[in-house]
Amino acid sequence: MALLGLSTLTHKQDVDAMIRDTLDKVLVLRFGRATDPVCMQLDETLGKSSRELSKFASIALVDVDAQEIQVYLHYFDITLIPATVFFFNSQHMKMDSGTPDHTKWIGAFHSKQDFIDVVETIYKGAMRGKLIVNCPLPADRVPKFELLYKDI
Amino acid sequence: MGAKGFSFCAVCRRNHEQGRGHRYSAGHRNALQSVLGKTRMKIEGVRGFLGNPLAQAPSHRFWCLFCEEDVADDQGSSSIACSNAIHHLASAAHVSNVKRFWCENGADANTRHDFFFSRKEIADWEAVCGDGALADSSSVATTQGATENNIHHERFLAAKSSQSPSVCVEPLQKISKDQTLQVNGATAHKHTVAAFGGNLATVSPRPLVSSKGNVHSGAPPPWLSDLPTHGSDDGCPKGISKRKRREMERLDKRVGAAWANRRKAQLERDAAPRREEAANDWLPSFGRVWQNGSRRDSRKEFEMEKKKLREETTNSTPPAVQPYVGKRKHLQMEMEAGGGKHD
Repeated sequence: MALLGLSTLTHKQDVDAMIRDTLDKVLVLRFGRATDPVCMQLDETLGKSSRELSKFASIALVDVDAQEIQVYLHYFDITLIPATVFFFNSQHMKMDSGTPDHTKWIGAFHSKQDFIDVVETIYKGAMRGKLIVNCPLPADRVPKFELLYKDI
Repeated sequence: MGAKGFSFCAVCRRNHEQGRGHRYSAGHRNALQSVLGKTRMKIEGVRGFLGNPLAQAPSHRFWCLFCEEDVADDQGSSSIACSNAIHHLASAAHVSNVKRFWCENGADANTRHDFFFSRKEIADWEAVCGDGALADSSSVATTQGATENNIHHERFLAAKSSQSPSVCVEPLQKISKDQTLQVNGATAHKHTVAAFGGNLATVSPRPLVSSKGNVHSGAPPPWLSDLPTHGSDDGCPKGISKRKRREMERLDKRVGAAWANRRKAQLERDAAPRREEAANDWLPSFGRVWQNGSRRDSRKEFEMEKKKLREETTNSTPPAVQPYVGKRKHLQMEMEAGGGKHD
């Protein structure tokens, strides 16, 4: 998605370097496929808001079909795409949006402003030392999904 | 001030000289609440057996907080489950100890009855035990907190009378944390087996050779797994004192602040080239050392000395000394030279 100004990562060391070297800024990693329609919608939202958030957030896209990225799919337990994961200073940031999974945002955002509000909330929480923040969006703007966990 | 002296509070586990006022302090009330909560849970466990006595029960022991003694029921010692515990909790000594504990620690009087069994409850239990109407633990699983008023109790009695020996339900066993995590020799953790998201596409990650855990199980993240070893530099400037550094770390509430400082120092170290040796004309940025004066004066003096030195080294031959020739004489000489040429 070079047109949107966002880099697409396919190697593990690139993703590692991105997470480790983004300091004092929220890092937004979108796990998905460039050809998926919902991913394309989300990518457009991310691309359009990247400039406005550039002072306190960095955004990058990660291709889920790459071989080296599978370890991240396992670690974050990603089964639905697009899945957006947030980081701050190499720490994974969680967000409680009323969904079964607090570790990532699944689906696209309703509008650019929604995404900006979410990133702002995560940044504010991270600067205060919070590892999990509450989602500022109303429930009807949060994409619904169901997950079946196997808890041994 | 009266001589109250020190006394030990068993709930807070500390000595105090507040006298009887200690029981109204916030710390004591919190400690009391937590201790009574734990004791209540244990007694509720025994109360479950009060409603459904079993012939064979697992061994059961607990510490009675009020009587300060261990109450144990070993498996096989009695034909009735938790008989020792039930007798103890109904005994007059235990009841009086509970009342004494309430007086000493100022707990809520309305909750006192939860911590011992009344005479009526014991009488009913003994009646049930005496009838011999006891079920094997293999026929029906017990429910915690069931009392004789439970409608299931009547059904249980009816079922027991026509129980079939073929029905076999294993009693609930306490599974340790290690057992939950070890399945077939591999470490197991919470993971998604199915996902439904409307118009969202699903992704099934290719199976890994060894699953080391995931974000739900709190496993170490993959981006920190193959980290190059770094020095002991934590990113703080070296000139500040330890106290000041601790104060800065305490005030810095950002998530991952220590990591960010360390990483910034590492990146700066890697990016900055090695400093060259000081040039000959390097001047320290303080004022005169040996004389009084400002930096400007010492710089002026240095520049004059440098200039002199340069002149001495570059000017090896002295300039030719010529006599003074005035302007009129000079012009006359030029005209004479130019007129001579024309002729």
